[in-house]
Amino acid sequence: MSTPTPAEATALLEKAGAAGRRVRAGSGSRTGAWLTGMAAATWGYLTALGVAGGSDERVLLVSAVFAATVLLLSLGLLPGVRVNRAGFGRRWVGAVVGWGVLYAAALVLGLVLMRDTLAYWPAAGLVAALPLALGARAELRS
Amino acid sequence: MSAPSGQLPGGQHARHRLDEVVHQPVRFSVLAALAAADEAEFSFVRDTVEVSDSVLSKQVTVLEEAGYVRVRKGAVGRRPRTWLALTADGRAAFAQHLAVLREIAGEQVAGQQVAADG
Repeated sequence: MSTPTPAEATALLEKAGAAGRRVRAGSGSRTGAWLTGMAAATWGYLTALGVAGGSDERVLLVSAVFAATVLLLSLGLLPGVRVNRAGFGRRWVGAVVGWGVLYAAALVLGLVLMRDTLAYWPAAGLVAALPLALGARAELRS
Repeated sequence: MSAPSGQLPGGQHARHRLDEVVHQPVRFSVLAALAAADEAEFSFVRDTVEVSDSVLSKQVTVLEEAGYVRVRKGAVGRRPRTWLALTADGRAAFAQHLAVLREIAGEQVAGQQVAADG
């Protein structure tokens, strides 16, 4: 093994830094777009549930549109991911688990107690979408 | 009296702590790319390091045998995909290698400082 000179060691350190920058530049756009899309879909879904009022058919229709949106986002964006930046797994789990807990709580509370309170739904949508929006910001930040 | 830059207190030069597996240029570049990632697709690493599939495959095998890289085979639809990630040992080895390089690079800074002081 050849021993690097101080100048070569400096060049290797710069090379390592450049590789890290390339990885950071190449990651995050698709997962960030997925999280952004999910945040928007969550807000739209919960707001639409409020507008749908007490009609079960409308609730089912809105839910079907939301499910189709989630499916399209997932099939369109996630399979093309080529690299995940360091710490992605932790950030992703935090965003999705946080969303799941708040979304379920907003849905149960809304459908059981606040079904006819129109103002509840957009606010609940914002709260449920927050973990996804924060996750998207973290992924899209280079 | 403190040891000169790049030397351990016992007089052993920092180069003795360089990892031969990490030091090879292609492997160094692969590890540098993977150190910034949780996981990266084989083709992404190939494009980043700018080598052919066969060269990357050969060097990844060396890194995998050393326990520095984990290889995961998967598929997206019908297309096979290979994902690469650093193991904990690989991350530690690369960090240690960078630390040694910083010590060696420090010699240059120290030398320039001596010249400036002289």
